[in-house]
Amino acid sequence: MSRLLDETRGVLDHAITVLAGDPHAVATLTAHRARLGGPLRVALAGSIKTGKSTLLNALVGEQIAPTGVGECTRVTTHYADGPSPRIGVTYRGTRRDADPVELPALHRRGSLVIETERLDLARVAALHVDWPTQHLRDVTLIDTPGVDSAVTRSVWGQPDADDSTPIDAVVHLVRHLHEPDVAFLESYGDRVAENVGAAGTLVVLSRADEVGGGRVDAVMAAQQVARRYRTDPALRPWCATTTTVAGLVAETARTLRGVEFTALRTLARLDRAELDAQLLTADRFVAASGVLPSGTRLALLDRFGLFGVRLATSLLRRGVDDSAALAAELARRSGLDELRDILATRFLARRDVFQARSALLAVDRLLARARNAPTAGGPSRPSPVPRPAPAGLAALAEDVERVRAGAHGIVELDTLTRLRRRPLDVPGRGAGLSAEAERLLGDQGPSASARLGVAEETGAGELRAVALAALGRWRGHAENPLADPDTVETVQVVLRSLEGMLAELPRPVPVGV
Amino acid sequence: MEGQRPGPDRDEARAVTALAVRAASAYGRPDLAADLGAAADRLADPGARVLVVGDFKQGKSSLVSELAGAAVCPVHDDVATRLPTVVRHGPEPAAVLVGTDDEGTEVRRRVGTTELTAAVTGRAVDGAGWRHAEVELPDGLVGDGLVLVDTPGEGGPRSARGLAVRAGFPAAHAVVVVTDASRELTAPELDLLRAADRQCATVVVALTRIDLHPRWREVRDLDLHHLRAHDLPQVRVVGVSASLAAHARRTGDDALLAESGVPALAGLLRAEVADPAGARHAVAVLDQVAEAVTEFSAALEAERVGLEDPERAAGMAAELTAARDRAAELRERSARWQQTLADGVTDLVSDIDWDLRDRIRHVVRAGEEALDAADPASSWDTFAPWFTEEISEAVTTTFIWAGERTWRLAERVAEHFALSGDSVRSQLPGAPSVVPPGAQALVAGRPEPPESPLEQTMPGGMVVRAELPDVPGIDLPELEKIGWANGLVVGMRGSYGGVLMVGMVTTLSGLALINPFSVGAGVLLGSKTIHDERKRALQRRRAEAKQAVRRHGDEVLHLAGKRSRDLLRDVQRTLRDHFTAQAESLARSVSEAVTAAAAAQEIESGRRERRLRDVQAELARVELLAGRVATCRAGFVAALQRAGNPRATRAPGSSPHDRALTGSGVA
Repeated sequence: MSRLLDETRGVLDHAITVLAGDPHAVATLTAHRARLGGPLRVALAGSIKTGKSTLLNALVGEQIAPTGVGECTRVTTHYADGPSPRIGVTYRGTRRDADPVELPALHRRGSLVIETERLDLARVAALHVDWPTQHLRDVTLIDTPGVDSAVTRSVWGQPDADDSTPIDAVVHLVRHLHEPDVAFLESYGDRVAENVGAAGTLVVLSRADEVGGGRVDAVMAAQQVARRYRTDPALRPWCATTTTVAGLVAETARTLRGVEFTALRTLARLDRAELDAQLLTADRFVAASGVLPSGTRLALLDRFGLFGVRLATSLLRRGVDDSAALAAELARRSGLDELRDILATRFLARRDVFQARSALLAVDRLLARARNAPTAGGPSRPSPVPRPAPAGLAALAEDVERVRAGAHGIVELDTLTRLRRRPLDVPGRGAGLSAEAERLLGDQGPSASARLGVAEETGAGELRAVALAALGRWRGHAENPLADPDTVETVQVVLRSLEGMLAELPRPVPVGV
Repeated sequence: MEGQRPGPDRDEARAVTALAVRAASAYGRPDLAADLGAAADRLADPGARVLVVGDFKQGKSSLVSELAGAAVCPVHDDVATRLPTVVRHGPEPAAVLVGTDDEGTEVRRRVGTTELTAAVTGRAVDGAGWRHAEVELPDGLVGDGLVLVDTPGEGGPRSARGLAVRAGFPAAHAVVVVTDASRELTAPELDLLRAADRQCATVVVALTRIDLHPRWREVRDLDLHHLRAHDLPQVRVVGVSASLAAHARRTGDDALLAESGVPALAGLLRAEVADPAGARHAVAVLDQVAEAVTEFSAALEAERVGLEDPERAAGMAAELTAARDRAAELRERSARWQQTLADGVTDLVSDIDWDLRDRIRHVVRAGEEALDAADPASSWDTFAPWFTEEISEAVTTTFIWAGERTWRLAERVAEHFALSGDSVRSQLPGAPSVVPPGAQALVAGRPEPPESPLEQTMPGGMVVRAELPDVPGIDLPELEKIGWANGLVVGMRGSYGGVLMVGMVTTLSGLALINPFSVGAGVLLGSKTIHDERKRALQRRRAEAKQAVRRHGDEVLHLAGKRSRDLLRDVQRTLRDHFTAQAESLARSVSEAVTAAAAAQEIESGRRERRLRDVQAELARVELLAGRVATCRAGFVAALQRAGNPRATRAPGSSPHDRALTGSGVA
């Protein structure tokens, strides 16, 4: 496949031979090697009831993650594509004989049921759900317990979490980005996201339908909020971008059932004032007599939320008249389409780079541990100077550095992360320049048109001209005598990105004789 | 409650107080009349504070607006409340912004709705200096004497804002924790509830936005389950919908209003907070009236005895003279309460100073360790806010502790004064020989002092035990008179709404410290040099950064130390002036009795009969007044006992939560 992945595989093989004496290291390395070229691993994180599982279902288009009124996800759960439904269980430490290796994959009304009652959740490291679906072919989704749960402790608190669950990108769900969320992003930016960095983190303002009391324009209001967050200096260092999604509506849009469409159409045919009175509160809607029994009404609310019912009936009134069109419109308005688009252009398009990067980081960590580990002869005495590394470790470290330096994609990700924290400091041209640098480094997606900020269908000749112009400008920045070393370094990376892009664009056919 | 007998009767309480004021002036005691006049004013405003707290964007402001019955707190989809808003009773609707200017004096400005909104949501151009907003409304829940405080979002226990909110708990009568019906209580919310429960009698969870969530009852049950699991079974959960209440208010639909749950919450607050607080207040005021009546009737009583029975009068005159001497002693510097006060303040100054130094030393040390672990050039941006926060937390903790200790000192001074003062007062002719019935209930239920643990772990791991002498039968209603409802705070009534200040004492001057005006300056300065030095060696950067940290610690210590000493001296002066005035009033009562008894001896026998009849008639009137006061008081006491405040029966220190607080210290 790609050269980067081949080289990374080579480094991992090298590491496996060097660290053969440490079974834990070998297991970690083998796991990384096996998943190179496989799906991207994206974790969904956030406090409780931010709609992580709901969003997961929306992304997959099926109800496979359990959702409900109370706290649902008590243990980290991996959802991956597989030939047949299967739920595997892994444990912290060694498995006891009574511990089940698998849970039965039960279906109930079109959704997967995960029976965790038989498990000792304190010792379960993770659940691994295999589910045959094309939507998990490129990405493995990892659902996590809420971070401020009153019941469970979060996985992010576990020091060994990142080795057993390598993560390439994080979708962080928040209800509102006020100080506590930012503080959380900071604290966890140091832990999990040390693999991921700001370039691999996406902040999603979830439950957008509840902004402003569930008005029909709630998602629009939420999008305005998200736009503001995009430029919020407090948030910039911690994520690549922000967007909004009304998770429940999105999930239902992807899994809309015929009976639900019929029920909604029945409601939409009611007198407008009457329906508005019923939709004043959830309690009133359920208790209202007339066209639908209260059980159906409650089920509708569970699936759509009050906002969803308001939105769907108003869409039906305005002429959306079949189930597929309603689902499409709901998905668009819920913000799901935009979220999928961001995931595709910013994360999936660079799957190789993300995977290679987290694999190399894992090797780095194991190397550091091997260097600090006491020698076999017993506890070593403290020494004021660093102990010289054994020759094997040094060679491996060199190997890692060689691959990393050669992989410009990884350098770009690290530079992006650094840029988010400390924007370019060129006298007289601050923010605009940083934004351009981020774009050229592939912040908006790695294609040439996205990097250059021109329309997708732009011809190669024009792309070339724009790229050459940018190259000229950025060479000027590199020669600025006032620039500090950080800036010069960043500018060099940008120049290399531009040169790489120019090299890949088709050469212009020489004109004339 | 009104229909039962004997019930609390506010009008009667006002009437007897007004009558006593007139009587005091008529009997030539303008000093007592002035005291009683102030008490009568207090009767009108018990000021039971309800703090509305919770995470960001849970609907606090809309709930406060609906409880108050008017859209007073700005509500926004995104922008959150930045300034606390105090909603209280006033003759007409008005809004005032309160802040401090550069010299530290209080600034108040009347504003319109637009400006209020801008300031409260932090978008005003000159918004930096405002500390809180006050809104006055003529009716609604605040008309019953409740003061509602809308707070900015609680940013977790470690944030400066979270600390400021929690620091308001001891001064609040009730805390309403607002949480969204879309999810069960989170771990930080449970922490907040536990902190509130430890320091407040009434804690309620308001589950908002029930109109949006069909399964809010399930969420409520989950919440109740969590509360039981965390040993907070006494916390109630009430489902409310502010937007529904607003809709009902616009359309005038009473059924809808009831459905919104807001009236139920308002009723709960009225029954458990406003009424008992009003009753306690009334009892305290009526006690003061009863004492004043005893004092000004003493001269009449002495005269009557002198007129009726000259032989007994001689003995009484001797007793009275001895009492007069003792009353005079009370005013002297050598009086026991004066000693207690002087010694107590000296001890406090030294303890607080040590505490402050120790805490700041620990923070500085932790800061230096953190700087050793990383390159200041890259870590400074996160380090500086962290350090500032740690420093403010250290200073705040000290000031909270100082507040508690000061409160205890005031209690002890009051006790010692009461012990001597009562022995004088019991010598007064006509004085009741027993404590009025119901006084004991009042002792247990008194709302004002912060119920905080008696022990506090200092940073060094040392446990400091605050002395709370357990003397039975102390005349505790006496405390109400010097108490935080009147004496100490009367001079700063304007900023009394700032209950978000740390404890009682810091209301005097502590807030400026927590508002880290001083705390920020040094670090900013340091930050600049650190960044300028980026090209130099790492060691050099570390040294510079550490120096900035130490300098900042010194700066804060310098300012905070000065402030805490000023504060304690203020307290000392206030207490001394208050009790000296009390002693003077008492001495005057005794000496007037002495004079009256002597005058009675010398009156001619012809006029004696007529004078006796006059005095008896006067005394009968006074007794009638005393009787009315006693009946009225009994009504309020009965209401209090019916209200059955759960906190009243819980002995301080017995709660298992207290240990958790003392154990935490400064982490």
